[in-house]
Amino acid sequence: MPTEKNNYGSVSDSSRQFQRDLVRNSSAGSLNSQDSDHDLEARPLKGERGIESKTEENNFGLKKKVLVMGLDRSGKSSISKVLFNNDVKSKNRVINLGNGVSIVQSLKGKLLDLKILEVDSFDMNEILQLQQYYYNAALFNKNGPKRKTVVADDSANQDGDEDELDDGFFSNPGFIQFFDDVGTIIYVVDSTSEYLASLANLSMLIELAYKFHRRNNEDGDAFNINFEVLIHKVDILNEDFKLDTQRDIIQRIQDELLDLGIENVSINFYLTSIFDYSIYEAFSRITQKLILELPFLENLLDNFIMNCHNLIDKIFLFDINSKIYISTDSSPVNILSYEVCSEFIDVTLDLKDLYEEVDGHGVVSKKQNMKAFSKLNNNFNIYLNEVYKNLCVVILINDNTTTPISNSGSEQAGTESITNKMLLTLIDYNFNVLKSTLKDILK
Amino acid sequence: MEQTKAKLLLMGRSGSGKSSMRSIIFSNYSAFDTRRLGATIDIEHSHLKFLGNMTLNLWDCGGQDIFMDSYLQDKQDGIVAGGSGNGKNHIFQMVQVLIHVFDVESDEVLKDIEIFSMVLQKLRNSSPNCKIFVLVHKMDLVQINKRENLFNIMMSKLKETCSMYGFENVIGFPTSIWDESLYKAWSSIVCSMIPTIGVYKEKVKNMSEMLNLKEFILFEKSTFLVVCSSLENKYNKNNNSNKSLSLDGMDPKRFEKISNVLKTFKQSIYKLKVNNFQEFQIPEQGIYIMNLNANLMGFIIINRSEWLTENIIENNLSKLKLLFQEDQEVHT
Repeated sequence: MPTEKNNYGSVSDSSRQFQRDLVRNSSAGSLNSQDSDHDLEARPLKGERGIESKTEENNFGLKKKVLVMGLDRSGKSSISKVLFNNDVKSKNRVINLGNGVSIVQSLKGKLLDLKILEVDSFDMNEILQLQQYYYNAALFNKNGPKRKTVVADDSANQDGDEDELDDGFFSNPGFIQFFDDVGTIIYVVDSTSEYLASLANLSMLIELAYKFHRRNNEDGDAFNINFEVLIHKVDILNEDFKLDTQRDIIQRIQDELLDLGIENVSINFYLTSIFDYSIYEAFSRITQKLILELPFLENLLDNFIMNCHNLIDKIFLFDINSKIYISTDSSPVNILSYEVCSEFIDVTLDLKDLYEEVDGHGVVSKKQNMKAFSKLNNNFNIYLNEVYKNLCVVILINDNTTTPISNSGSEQAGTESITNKMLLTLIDYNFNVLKSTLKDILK
Repeated sequence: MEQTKAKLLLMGRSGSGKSSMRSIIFSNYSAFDTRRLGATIDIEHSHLKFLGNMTLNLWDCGGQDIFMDSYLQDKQDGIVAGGSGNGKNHIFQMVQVLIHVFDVESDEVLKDIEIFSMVLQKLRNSSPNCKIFVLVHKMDLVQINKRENLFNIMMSKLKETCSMYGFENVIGFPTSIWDESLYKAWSSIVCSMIPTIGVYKEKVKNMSEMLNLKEFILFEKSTFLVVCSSLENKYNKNNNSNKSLSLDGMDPKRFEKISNVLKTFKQSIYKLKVNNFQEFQIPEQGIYIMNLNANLMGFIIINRSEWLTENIIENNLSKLKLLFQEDQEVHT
């Protein structure tokens, strides 16, 4: 009993302290009351103004937003550089919107219409301060400072209050702007540093988004923001430690969500590094979730494989600029085959560029379709063809049916080249069917 | 055709990048992989087959001062003791090519040159006919606009040193493992040693005229070093005058770039457990790359025209391939 009393004592002490702070804060609020209304509108979150102005300009209304967030130096900018800036000629626009939010990329195709935003030095503290500010102001206005003596009472009251008090906070236009239309929040955690702060930040973010959603969708739509956690810079960790870290992070986040009572949040974890293909893979999976036609595409590609007598190992639909794969057939993805296909695009582009300059007497026919084919040893073939601007199909063919290679005898070589040609014709034909189907869908 | 052997000495001070470049060109390393390499101890011999009938004996000489001293010292002892040294006095004998690597960022340029001149001195005694190539390496560390100037200064100094020892025709290249310059240097080095280079050149030229090709480049298959090109003469002229680089609208660095790209591709497909590719075509651009025989790969750019259908191209290419295959059969 005495210990309990002590506890109670200390709690009420702190709550008194809290109230004192509260009073001081709210009085400060009232001192500023002249411009406080204005302030609430304009000041709030970093960079919202940027988004706002951009939205007005380009009318991005219908598109899904992808927010890239994370603490300072977690690697957000490097990721966007690696993924989207490697090609200078492309129309990737890096618009620095001044105060922290920059549009990294508008993946603009008919299939994919995303706006990827990078939120610089995202810090929940700022939002929390803001929340506190609203909270205090509202508390002061409505109830005035209350004296609370009983702990149980206190918490009950606070809970009750919160719902009302938060209203002002969540209807803040900047805030709405911030979370509106967000399809995915990519949260980057630097796995090589102390990530506890980062995780705390993340869970606050999830809570905030969740509450925001609940408030603004009272008809009970499912909470539909995907959270994608990139456990980043794992190239530095060794294999065992990598998995340990992943397990630890997942555990902590899940515990946190359980504590907060938030259910049904789609949250995924990826181990990434910009020095290999893991970041591309992660981004591919993330973007695929936002494509509505995905099952249809997958089906289409499966059919493609079926119609080619199972000669095809793997088929990818690539976004050429970012090397993100938009879709693939339903067989599991082997990262190696993805790498090879992605590098094949690079090689083709490089060689093509080299001799485009050759043509270049000012009249380069740039509308030329990009198509390439390569026959490897061991019956492997790679086939690439462009569907339309920036979207191409890369096919990995494992052609076991041709007769085993015996280099002697020109007859043998002759038959081989015929089967080779038949293969190409078959795939060309199917490709054209696929292409016209895709065009039909996207009309 | 008889087997030709050539001895190449790869020298230079410690850490200048000798083993790195050797691994990239001949052992299919990527530039990134070379971080794994440690210091070379003493001499590493490698026997590299090139074009089937040529063996390159590459002596990669560890560059730490203690080894350098021993290479240079032993011989002197040998002379003093009457030439019967069992040490390393054979190093400088029968050398066809010396490749000396200089680190452009070196702190002790004078020491580098001093060692170079000592090596030259040895060579003058033992193999006076050897060709000298100097590579000014790690050029990527120098600012782009300063590179040419720095290279010229370095070369004039080195040429001076060489002529002191009676080696007049020194060829120098600025190189870096991070771009395609390395391929240019090594292509020239290796080509200078191919005895039948004239045959290849003529063949390539005739073929490209016959088939009206825009360009026909021969590559060695495993290293992707350029053997020769149908436009090579023009290329060399351009390179010397350095002003009319893009007279014919061609990228003067295209050979190296192709080497680099194809090498990357080869490394890439290695992930599928495939050691090399046989064919690569980008038909819209008229680019066809294919195996010609066991050692050669052809890079063919076709002048496209209306009447040239896919079938004709294919036919032509297979004829061309046959020609090279027969060629090889005659040789072996």
